[in-house]
Amino acid sequence: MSGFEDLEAERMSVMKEPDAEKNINVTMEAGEDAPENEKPKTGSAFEGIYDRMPDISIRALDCFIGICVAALIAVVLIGILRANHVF
Amino acid sequence: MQKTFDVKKFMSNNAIIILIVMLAILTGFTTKNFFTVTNFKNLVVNVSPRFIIACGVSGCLITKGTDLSAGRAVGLAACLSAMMLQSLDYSARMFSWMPDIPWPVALVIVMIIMGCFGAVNGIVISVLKVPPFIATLGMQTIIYGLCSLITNNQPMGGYKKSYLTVASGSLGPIPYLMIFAVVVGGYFLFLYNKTRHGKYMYAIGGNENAAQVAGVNVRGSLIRIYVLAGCMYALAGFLVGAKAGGASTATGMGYELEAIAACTIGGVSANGGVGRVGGILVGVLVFEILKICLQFLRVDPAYTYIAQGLVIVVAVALDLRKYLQKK
Repeated sequence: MSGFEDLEAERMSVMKEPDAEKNINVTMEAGEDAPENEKPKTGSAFEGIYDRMPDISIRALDCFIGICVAALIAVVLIGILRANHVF
Repeated sequence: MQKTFDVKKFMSNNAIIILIVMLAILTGFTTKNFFTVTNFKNLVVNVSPRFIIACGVSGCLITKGTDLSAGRAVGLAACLSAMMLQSLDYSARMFSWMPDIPWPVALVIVMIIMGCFGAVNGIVISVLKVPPFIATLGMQTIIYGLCSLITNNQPMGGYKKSYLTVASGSLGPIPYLMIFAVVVGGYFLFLYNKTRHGKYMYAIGGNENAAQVAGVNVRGSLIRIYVLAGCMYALAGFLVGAKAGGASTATGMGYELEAIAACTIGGVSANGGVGRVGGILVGVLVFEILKICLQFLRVDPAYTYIAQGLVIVVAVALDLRKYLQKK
């Protein structure tokens, strides 16, 4: 498994080099025609879903996760309070 | 160089597990009978079939696929088991001509049948290149239709004692259901970590094209993954039917979403190539403990559904966060 991850990392680093010939060779090696940084256009909406998402900053994602966790705690608390007829 | 324990990273990677543990502790201290052997056995009995289903689905998820037919497959397996294992003197026996079949034989027959459905999924996905979401969604509906046809939309019961004992019996203090789950877990642990099939599976999930170029038989591997998943649904359906004492077309409904959610919570990435059996078990436990805690706290089931949905969203968001950090 780690071997393929290394291959992927190597391909990503090579793709960033300005040498066009190396880019072509690496692309041919992987058997892909499209450049790596293009988002996939085929397949269902759920395949490669992370690649299809718009660029999101980690900070924005952290805020979203924080809101969801707060909502989860709120839902559980409200459920407990209603079960005990507090309101 | 000493590695320092990053509290923030640990908290963000295991946020859901920490929350559920805190909820379990709160429930244990505020209610009676939570931290008891009976409740623990109840948890184990509920977790076991769901863990088996999640193991089956995990292979599909690791290879960037999905299997939405899991729940209906479990239902069909439960109905097929019911048809073969009704008591001979039961008045409403489905097939009065059927001889007395030992439950291991019935289990093997059901696994072969559901394995065939899994093979169809695998062939449609790997050979015909139909997206797994669409292929398994179609199979879900087909299986439901078949189940309705063969059962005539009638619920089934009146099982043999030997079949009911599979779910209700125990070997000393250990329920038989837990033994099934442990055997399946051990098998998947071996399969994912020590076999070529496991390596190929992770390779396909990581980069299918690179795996193909490296000589992996992608089609064969995908078909095997979906066949194995079908067999696991068969086993889970067999056990669910024994546990419930009956089966109908509604059996197993929604189980696939729980299984996929449990896998995601347990670290099986929606982006493929990542997943461990231990993580799957943790994910299933998180879901069941959440349900049991809210039941003990007498929370309305509607709130339980909302809480489960939020847990799934948080799990996927955390998975996406790991992916973005890596990128």
